[in-house]
Amino acid sequence: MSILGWQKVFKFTFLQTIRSKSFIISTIIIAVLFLGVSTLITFIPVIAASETEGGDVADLTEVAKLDTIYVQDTTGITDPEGYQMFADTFGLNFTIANKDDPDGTYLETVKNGTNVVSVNITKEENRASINIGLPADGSVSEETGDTLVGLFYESFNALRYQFADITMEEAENITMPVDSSVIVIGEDTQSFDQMIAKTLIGMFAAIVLFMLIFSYGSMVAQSVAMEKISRVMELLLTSVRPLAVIVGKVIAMGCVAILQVLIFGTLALGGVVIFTPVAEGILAGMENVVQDQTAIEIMNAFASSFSEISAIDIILVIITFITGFIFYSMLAGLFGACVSRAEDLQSALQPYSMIGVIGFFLSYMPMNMAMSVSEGTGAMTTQLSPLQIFIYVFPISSPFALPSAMLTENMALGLKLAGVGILILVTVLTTLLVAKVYHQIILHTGNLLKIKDIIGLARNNK
Amino acid sequence: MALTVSHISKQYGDFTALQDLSFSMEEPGVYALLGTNGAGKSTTIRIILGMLSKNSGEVLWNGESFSPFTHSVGYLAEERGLYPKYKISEQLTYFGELKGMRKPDIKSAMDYWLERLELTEYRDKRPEQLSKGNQQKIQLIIALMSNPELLILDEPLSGLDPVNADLFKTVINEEIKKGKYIIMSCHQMPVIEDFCEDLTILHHGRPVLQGNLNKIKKSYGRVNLAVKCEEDIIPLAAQCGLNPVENTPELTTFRIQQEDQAKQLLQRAVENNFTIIRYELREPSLHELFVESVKKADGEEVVAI
Repeated sequence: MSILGWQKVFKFTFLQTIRSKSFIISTIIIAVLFLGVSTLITFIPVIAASETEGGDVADLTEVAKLDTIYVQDTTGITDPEGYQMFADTFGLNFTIANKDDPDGTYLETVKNGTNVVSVNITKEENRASINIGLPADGSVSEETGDTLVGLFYESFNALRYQFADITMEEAENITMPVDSSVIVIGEDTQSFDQMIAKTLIGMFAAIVLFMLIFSYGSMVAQSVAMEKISRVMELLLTSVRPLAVIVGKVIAMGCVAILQVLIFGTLALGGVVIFTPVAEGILAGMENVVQDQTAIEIMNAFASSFSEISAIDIILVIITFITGFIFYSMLAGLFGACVSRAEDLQSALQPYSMIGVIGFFLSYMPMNMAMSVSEGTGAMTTQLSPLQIFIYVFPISSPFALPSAMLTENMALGLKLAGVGILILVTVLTTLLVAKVYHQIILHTGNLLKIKDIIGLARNNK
Repeated sequence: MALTVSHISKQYGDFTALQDLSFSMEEPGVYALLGTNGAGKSTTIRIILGMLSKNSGEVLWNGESFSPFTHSVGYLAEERGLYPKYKISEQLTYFGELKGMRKPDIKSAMDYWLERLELTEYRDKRPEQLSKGNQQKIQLIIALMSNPELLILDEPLSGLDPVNADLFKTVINEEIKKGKYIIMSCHQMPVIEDFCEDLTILHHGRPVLQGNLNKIKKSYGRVNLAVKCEEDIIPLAAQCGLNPVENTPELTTFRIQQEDQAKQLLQRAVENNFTIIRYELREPSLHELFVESVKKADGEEVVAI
């Protein structure tokens, strides 16, 4: 069947869509969000650093102003006398209550006193506790108390290692966390941070792809339905074939989607490019900066998640996106063409919505499975389960799940090609089905056509 | 011979939408496609326009297979359709481009037709801001702007006020003078009688009356006698063996077998000093032909025209 004239349908649909108020408003809102998020990301190191900037110094000054710090350590795993060394280092006025006030009357002194605090270190079963007591008159701030917690945490750790006659380095060796994984020899392993990063990238990609593919597919359906309901379709069909109408619309909506992606991507990238030097300048101007290591590690993990992307991967991602878009848009156009009355539009699109939602939830499963493996056993495996493989090759879920997986997982090339190949095959079959029944459906008026009616038309039109 | 529709049929499962329809337009002019609702007029038009596939038959233009995609055709659909939210000028440009028109031709055609149909002030408005009649004018412009050889007008005057209906009739007459081939479907029989020379009346997908309208009428003869008197003519007519088929305050109509019956009635009315205001012996109207053909096809008793 000829699709001659699709370019004119494409041009009109594209121009009218990008001129519409709904497109302009939604593009501006989402673009501002992208710019905001990208800017926020560049400022994460500054935000993480600024929280601790100069704070320790200022608070230690306040701590140094205290008249007396009463310390009682009843854990039995330190030598309480050792705290005096810290008192001398920081110029603090300590009273070791273990020795001077074993009955604990100092607590009453602190309660009724001014500019004094108590530090009570205890041990119950396998946990130690550090409790700071402040006087009731408010002469000592809670911030000063927080600083003392940090100070005594470090002091207590150092003293208990000293008491056990081991160095800090030996203690770190004993207490270091252990990561575990199950791998196929020859394949790469991934850290917990990398896995978190990949999961987040996958989730984000699935949401963006779903929004683009499904939402713009819905717009194709609405456009077809409205042309049919408003009887414009009958006029169009005197100049172009039905298939040319839907092809023109699908390509136009695809280009609108790509245009939006380019706008959002450019703004996001622009935000990073423009604000990174600003953030670095702010960081350079800071003194006593303490960086949040967790934030840095996660950001590094994000960066390393994309480190092994090849040109083939990028080509396959683009093909998957375009094919997935055509697949969903063709389906949407088919269901949209079944409508004769505006009030039937929602019910006509229900099967399309169901397919989209199922595909979207399936695309989340590989990420959830990876998370559950990690949470359950602590082991991180790079091996794909049969269900994950199914989701990557199932044409309903693959448009949402496959692109991010191709960029972040160590998938075999064969699996990538299988996923893309099956999607292309199903898209071609769907397009052929649409071509077969569309010219009959589009002129049907009356009751809403059901899926069985469409199948019947396809059979009768052999 | 320009347009030939030859033995076309259309089946939907067990339902026959159109059965063995043939007609041709040898000269430019108007061909009327008439029929009851659901008779198959729209199906015929859609088949000619290539929107619907046919089970058998062919549509030819100058002896070659006709396609709206390769031949110039304008279409005014029965159910009007415009994009409600897009500007008139943008829509006219779009439909002109779809017809293969170049931008300058679109602009000149748009300017001409908007002015001709008194719509210039609405070119940047949206259809939702226009009255129904003005929307219909826009539809007519879409059908005419590519200067097509074949025009298909499905109920062109429905919903129009008398002033706009006259404007449409004038435009249609102009197109006839330009040598256009026009297929017109209309339920307003006087309009068809004004324009058309040949016709097909369809009923349940089958042609029940076809041919040249004047010839059909002549073949029936002058069988309608319309009389208006100040006195009651009905008793006098009964004496001549005539019963009224229609009796209104304005006119009493009789169906005659022979013209002598009419002469006899006139003679008696004069003899009885009746004041005769109107006396007309005429051929059957298209309306009467239509009703008779349909009833005959349904097997109902038909009063001979």
